[in-house]
Amino acid sequence: MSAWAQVMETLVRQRRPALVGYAYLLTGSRSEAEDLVQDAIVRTFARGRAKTSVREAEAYVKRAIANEAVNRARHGIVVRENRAKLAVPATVPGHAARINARADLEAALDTLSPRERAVTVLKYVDDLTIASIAAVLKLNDGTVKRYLANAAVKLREQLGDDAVNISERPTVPVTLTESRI
Amino acid sequence: MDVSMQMRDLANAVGEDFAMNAPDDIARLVGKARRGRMVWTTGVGAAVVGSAASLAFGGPALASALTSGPVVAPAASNSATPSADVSESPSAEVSESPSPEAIAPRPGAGVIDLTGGATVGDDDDSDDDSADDSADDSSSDDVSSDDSSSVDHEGVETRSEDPEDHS
Repeated sequence: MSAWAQVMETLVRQRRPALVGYAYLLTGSRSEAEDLVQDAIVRTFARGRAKTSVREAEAYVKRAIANEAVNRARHGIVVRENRAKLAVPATVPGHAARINARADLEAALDTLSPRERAVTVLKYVDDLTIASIAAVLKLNDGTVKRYLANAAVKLREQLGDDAVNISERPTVPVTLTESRI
Repeated sequence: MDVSMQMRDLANAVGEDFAMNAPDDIARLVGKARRGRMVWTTGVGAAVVGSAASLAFGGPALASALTSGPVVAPAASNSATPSADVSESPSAEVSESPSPEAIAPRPGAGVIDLTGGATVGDDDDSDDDSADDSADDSSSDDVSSDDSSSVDHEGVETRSEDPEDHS
């Protein structure tokens, strides 16, 4: 087995669940996330320079997932699935609150446009800088700031002021000029 | 809990749920990538050979044969002789002039054809590649943009890999 195939096998075996979770944040759909991850992995290894480390390959795959999630959402490919209402066991005290918080977050993320959602995930999950987010999504820095600002406003409306850290509140004036796609 | 922690928590939960009944399709995915890799290296290899051949021999016929498209070089020759055709020919002749057979043999266009043929071959190949990229996704644009810088190496490298893969 060639080196790239070994890297790919290791990536799929070790990192696929985490990548599906990551893609879920971007899509809001479990089946879409799985499909997205599979496509991104295959495409990453099917072309280009052979990836020699799992870490490098995962970085490529995550970038591919973020971009493809935005593209699919903008072209209306994503079909939102009806999330099953989870039965919350009353005997586990913290569990119900956790489930509810998770549902609230999913609902809040659903209010974001595809790009707002993508920049939010890249910012709050990947801890990327504005410049890095702009590079990944091929946007201007100012555009990324605007998307982040709009997303922060929407998330605060849904989750409360405490959810989005005050120190991270953007200083860019919030003007929703682009229509949601 | 801030939104960052909540999002990571959600991603972990989904990932764990997926891991519990993850499909065992690693071999299928590797095979899919291998097939895609063979197609990709074949395409890149053809592009490299085509552009190298057209650069080496410089014939517009060779370039057009490699790209299997019409000889676009006359477009360059039109721009080289800008006003003569237009002023002499009325609209009926203008409609005839775009046919490649009518324009290609013109004397004086040979010098331009040499460079035009070579670049047409290059453009055609790069167009195919970029069209493929855009059809796939913009995310892989990142990957492919990195790739394009090392096309020659990849073509050689992966070609040498593929027989090894089959063995």
